[in-house]
Parts: sequence; C-alpha cells; structure tokens
Amino acid sequence: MKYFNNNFSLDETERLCQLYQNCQLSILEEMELEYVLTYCEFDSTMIEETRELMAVSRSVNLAKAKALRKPVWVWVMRLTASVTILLGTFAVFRQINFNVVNDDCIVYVSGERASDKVAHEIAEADVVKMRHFLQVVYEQKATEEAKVEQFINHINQSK
Amino acid sequence: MKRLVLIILSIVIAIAVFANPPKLNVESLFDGRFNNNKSVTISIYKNNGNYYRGITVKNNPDIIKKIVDAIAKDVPRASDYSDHQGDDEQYTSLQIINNGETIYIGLQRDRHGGGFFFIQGKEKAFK
Repeated sequence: MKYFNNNFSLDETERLCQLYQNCQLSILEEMELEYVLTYCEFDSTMIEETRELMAVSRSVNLAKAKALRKPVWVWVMRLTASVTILLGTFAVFRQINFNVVNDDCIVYVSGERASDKVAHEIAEADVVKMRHFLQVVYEQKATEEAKVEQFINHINQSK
Repeated sequence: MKRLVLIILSIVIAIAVFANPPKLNVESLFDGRFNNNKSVTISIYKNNGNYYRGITVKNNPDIIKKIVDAIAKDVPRASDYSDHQGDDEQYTSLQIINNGETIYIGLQRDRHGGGFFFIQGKEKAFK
C-alpha cells in the first residue's frame, strides 16, 4: 500500500468521496480512502455518506467472511466422522482372522485327515448323534423335574 | 445427510465387530493336539450358520479326563448345566450364552474310556 498523505483539503476529500461513490477508485485506493476518512477531521454530507457506504460494504464483507467460516460443530462432526471411520476400519481388520479355517468340514479319523466326501459323511452323522444327545438330555431333565414335582406333591399331601 | 449416514454406519460396524468370542476352555481341545491320535475322531463342521465341533473317543480314559476337566472349568459360565449318571453312561450338558446366542456343550461317556463330546452353536456365538 502506498503511503497516503492525510493532508487533504475538504474539497479534495469530497472529490475522492465522489470518485468512490462513482466506483472510479481501485480497491487499493478505496482502502486508502477508508483510512483517510477514519482519521480526517472533516465532516460534510458527502463524507458522511461515503463513510456510511464504507461501513455498509465493510459489514457485507464481514458477513461473507463469517459465512465462509464454518461453524465449530461442522468441524466437530467432520472430526468425529473421520475418527469413527478409522476406528471402524481398524475394528474390521482386527476381527478378520487370517488363520480361519476356510473349509466347511474337517475330519480327522485315527490320526489321519479324511477326504472331503468321507469328512462330510462323518460330520453329518455326528450332528445326528448330537441331536439325539440333546433329546436324551431334555428327556432326562423332564423326567427328573416330574419326579421332583411328584415328591413335593406327596410331601404336601401328607401334611 | 450423507455424512451423518456414514457416521452412523461406521458406529454400527464398529460395535458389531467388537463382539467378543467366548474363549471357552473346551475350545482348546480342538487346537490340534488330538489330530494325530489314533483313538480319536475329530469333526469340525460349518453348515447353514451353525458351527459344530466333535470328538469321539475310543478306550482312552486320559482324553476323557481332559475333556471332563475342561468342561468343569466352563461350568461356572453355564446358564444351564446337568450331569446325569445312568447305568452304563453319563451325560453332561452345558449351555453357555455368548453374543446373544446359545452354545451347547455335551459329553456322553461310558465306563470303558470311550465318549462323545461336542460343542455346537450359531457361528455368531463364536465370533
């Protein structure tokens, strides 16, 4: 910014204000004029109008600057999103077990691994055996509960 | 809006993948220690979202004892436990809840060192 001489006369100052209102000043010159009007002691209608216009344009620029600045909560949301995505990705990779058994059926018989076909047959037979086991246990429990109930009823009746 | 959906999705994924495996003592029996044992048949089977593992033992009281000891360590976590001694066979049964699913554990053993042991449940219970 070039050095500005504040020693303007009233006429010169008003002429500059007129040029400002006619948009005949460069941006740099407008800034310099604003500086002059801030500190000059002259007062006239033209100068006041120019000061008011400059105040208006300044508040417009300020509003634009504020609008460009994102509110704090937007930054917080962005940060939260980034952290959450990173955590989620980390958690997914942590849970992937690269040593997982990919085969759906593995059977060892007497110390040797069985072929797929035999393995499936044995495994399916084991599942049937398991279901039978669960059925037996269920019936055992039902039988025991019935015995207990019968015992309690007998006690109550004999009282 | 898109950002919000992405955040919610990431949170859900993060929560889902932090489900804990059960870390049962009986699961250690399937670490490969019996794979080469001639008195044992081991089955590991996944089908339709179900995960089954079984050990069938013939005439090996030592292995039966190891299975019994492993089961005993998991009994405190069981939501359901029963042990029934019949004339010839003994039935031990546990149910353990993990990740909202039930894991069934059972041991059927005879007097001659033979037995049938299994762990079964939905795959989600073991993740």
